[in-house]
Amino acid sequence: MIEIVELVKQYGGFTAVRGLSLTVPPGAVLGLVGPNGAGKTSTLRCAAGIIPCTSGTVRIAGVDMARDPVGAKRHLAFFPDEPRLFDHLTVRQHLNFVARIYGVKDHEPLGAALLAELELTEKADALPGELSRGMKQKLAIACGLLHSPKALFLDEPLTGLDPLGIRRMKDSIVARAKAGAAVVLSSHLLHLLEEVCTHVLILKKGEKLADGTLAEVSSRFSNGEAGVSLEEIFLRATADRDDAAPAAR
Amino acid sequence: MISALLYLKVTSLKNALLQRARRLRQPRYLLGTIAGLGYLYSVFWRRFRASTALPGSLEAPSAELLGTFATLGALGLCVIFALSWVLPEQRAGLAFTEAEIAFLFPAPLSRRRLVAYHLVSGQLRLVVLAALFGLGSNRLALFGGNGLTHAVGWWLVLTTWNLHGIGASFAITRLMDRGVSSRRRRLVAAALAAGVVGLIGWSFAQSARVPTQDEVSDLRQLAAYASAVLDGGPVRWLLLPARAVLAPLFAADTSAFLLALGPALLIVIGHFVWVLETQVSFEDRSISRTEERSARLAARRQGKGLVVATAKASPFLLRAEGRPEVAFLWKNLLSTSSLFRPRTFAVLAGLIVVGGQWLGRSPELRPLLVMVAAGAGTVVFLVLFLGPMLARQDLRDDLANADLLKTYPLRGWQVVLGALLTPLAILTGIGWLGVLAMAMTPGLTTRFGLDPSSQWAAAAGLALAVPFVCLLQLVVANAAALLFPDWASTTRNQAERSIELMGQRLIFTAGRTLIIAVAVVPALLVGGVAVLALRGLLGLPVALGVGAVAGLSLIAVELAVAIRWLGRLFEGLDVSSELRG
Ligand SMILES: Nc1ncnc2c1ncn2[C@@H]1O[C@H](COP(=O)(O)OP(=O)(O)OP(=O)(O)O)[C@@H](O)[C@H]1O
Ligand SMILES: [Mg+2]
Repeated sequence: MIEIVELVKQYGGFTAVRGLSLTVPPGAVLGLVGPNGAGKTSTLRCAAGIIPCTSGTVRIAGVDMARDPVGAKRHLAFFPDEPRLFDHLTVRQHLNFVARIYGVKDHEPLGAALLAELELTEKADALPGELSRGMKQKLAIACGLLHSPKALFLDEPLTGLDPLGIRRMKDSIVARAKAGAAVVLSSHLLHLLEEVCTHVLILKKGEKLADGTLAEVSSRFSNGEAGVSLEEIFLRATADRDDAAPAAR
Repeated sequence: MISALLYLKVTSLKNALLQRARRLRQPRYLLGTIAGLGYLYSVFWRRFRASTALPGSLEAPSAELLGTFATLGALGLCVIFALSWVLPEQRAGLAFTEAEIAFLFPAPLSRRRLVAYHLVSGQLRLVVLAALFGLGSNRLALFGGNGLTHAVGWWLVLTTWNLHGIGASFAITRLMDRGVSSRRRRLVAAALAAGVVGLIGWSFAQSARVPTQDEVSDLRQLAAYASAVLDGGPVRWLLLPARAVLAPLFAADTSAFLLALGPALLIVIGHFVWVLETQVSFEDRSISRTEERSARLAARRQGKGLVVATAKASPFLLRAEGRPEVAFLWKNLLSTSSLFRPRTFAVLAGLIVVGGQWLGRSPELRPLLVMVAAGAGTVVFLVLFLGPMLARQDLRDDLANADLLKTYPLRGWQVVLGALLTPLAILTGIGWLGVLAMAMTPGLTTRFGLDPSSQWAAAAGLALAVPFVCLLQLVVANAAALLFPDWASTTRNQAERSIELMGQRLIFTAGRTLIIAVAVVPALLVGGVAVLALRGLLGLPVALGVGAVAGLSLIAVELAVAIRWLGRLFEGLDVSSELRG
């Protein structure tokens, strides 16, 4: 369960996120979409407790991030767009490290299963420098999933992956949600979001333009047409007011 | 097309200068510039002025001596030229920036234009370098002439050097394209070199004078002798071009300089034409050179050398349960040499104990033991005062991964403490080995007029102090990294050299020293007062112990407060802005 209430994030005098609220129940996958600079990364970072938010509340599995950051972080995993790994730790040592940080008791069978699922078993003793970009991303995912988080935040999780990697990533996101995790992800690959997300939230200049299930959002912007793609909806929703719907003028 | 390239260069330069100027609005750059300029002024200009005023500190070189210098310089230049024909192993590659490669290589530009562009853009650096060298050599009054003739002279030398290197690499590439292997080229070059050496030998045989004892013992005379040998016969002709290049630099006065300028310029222009006319493909090697360079820069920017990580066995078994800070110790130890492991320290400690016993038993070996103790003392000193500055495996390294660390269910102070553990453990380990070696030296304390019985007490006190003193400095260094993340990262970014950064480093060092002094002085006072007050009551050894404990407790409290505070800073750190750097 992820709850964000009236989140505001300012950088100096610039407001990147303006009073955003959202709730993601267990099992749901929320897709955060919006043009470059809309505030997606800022929102995800605030939600994961990486950067302090200017005001507003973030609750992860019912734990308030501001009051008990450690308790809240125990339940979440964050995946930045560029996988961040430690240069000097092998794949297996990464899992060992993370297990100690989160106090994951029986991490060895768990880690082995994760590595097998992500097809990293062969590379268990390799350093990040010897991994391809996609493999690095998989390793970051394995590290994030080891403590069975209840909330997942993924920033542009599909960039740089090969078609098979994208499929796998989609499958594992869906699988985690099925297992009861709440997921928020941002992506510009709209047709892929359509396959993964149960909900979408369209963000522009830090403000929520629309949110709801895919069906709800598309009915709002489809003007009654049938079979409008998410791409079309995105374009309509984020178009500037003055050049949108010229017919209306 | 030329105008486009010129535009690129001029606007880049203008924007860079403007950006530098604009940066001055930020206090840290302004302060850095002031400090840097002040420093430069104090070491350079002031002494420069002083040295011209100082009579007879360096007498003006005689014409004879100048001639000797010129001959030896010409020989050196010839050796450099020769090496540029022997050393290159790979095809020619000119240094371009990444952007230049991206924009210029696919552009409709002839290779000649690219080369010309490269040469012209390289001039900026050479001119600055020549000006600096000119100032330097003028200040030292090495040659005759004035600052301007020196600068021009240096420019001629540097430019010829640069052009000759490029021309040679082009010619070598050409040979490679024709299928001449490096080995064959080197064989030929070696044969030529042998010929030259033979020639020198022959001309020496002609002059047929072995240097006298006087000449061998006096450096100046030896130089004169060597130049006399080199000046005679065919070697003179061989050195002639190099001498012509150097002549303006060594000109005694302005008219000599003007006379020498013509031939030297001719040589530079000849080189320029030669380089432009040699058409070889340098592109692929240029690209790979640039890639290597940016990889190196990126590594440096993160404060690391380009260390190739190697997979290592875990330093110790890391269980899932237990304090999470230890995980950082484990992780960061993995990024150090596998020598820094508990096992190594145990083995070394054993060796020190056994060796110390053995040495101590045989009186004739005692002097050796003293030397060992002196070495150990040096090690302890270095660990205490240099180690924390050299250590890197802490927050300063981990800050690059700050956004990952911040998702961990840890308080900020836990991350900070964890990050500090590795350098602390390593420095403490080395320091303790040094202390142990000192303690094993019989009668070391008696040398300082202390009771021999206090030897182990003193060693224990010192050993106790080692981690505190190291941690204190580590905390201060990491505080700087956290408080001024981008400042700290630019000052560590060796790639950028500028007056501001030099000044910033100076300010940093001064600040660090001040803070450490402020932290240590109260502890010293408390400890000192305790020792003075208790000495009469409990005897010196015990009083020393109590004083040490009192002082160190105060430092421990300071450290605890500081680490908590750093943790709060870490929690509040806006990684996104720092990562944007
Ligand atoms: N550290 C920072 N300091 C100042 N402004 C920032 C900072 N980080 C982000 N911003 C600004 O906040 C706004 C939102 O940025 P954010 O990175 O959240 O956008 P985004 O939706 O993730 O964009 P993209 O699709 O390009 O990834 C942008 O206008 C950006 O310029
Ligand atoms: Mg983003």
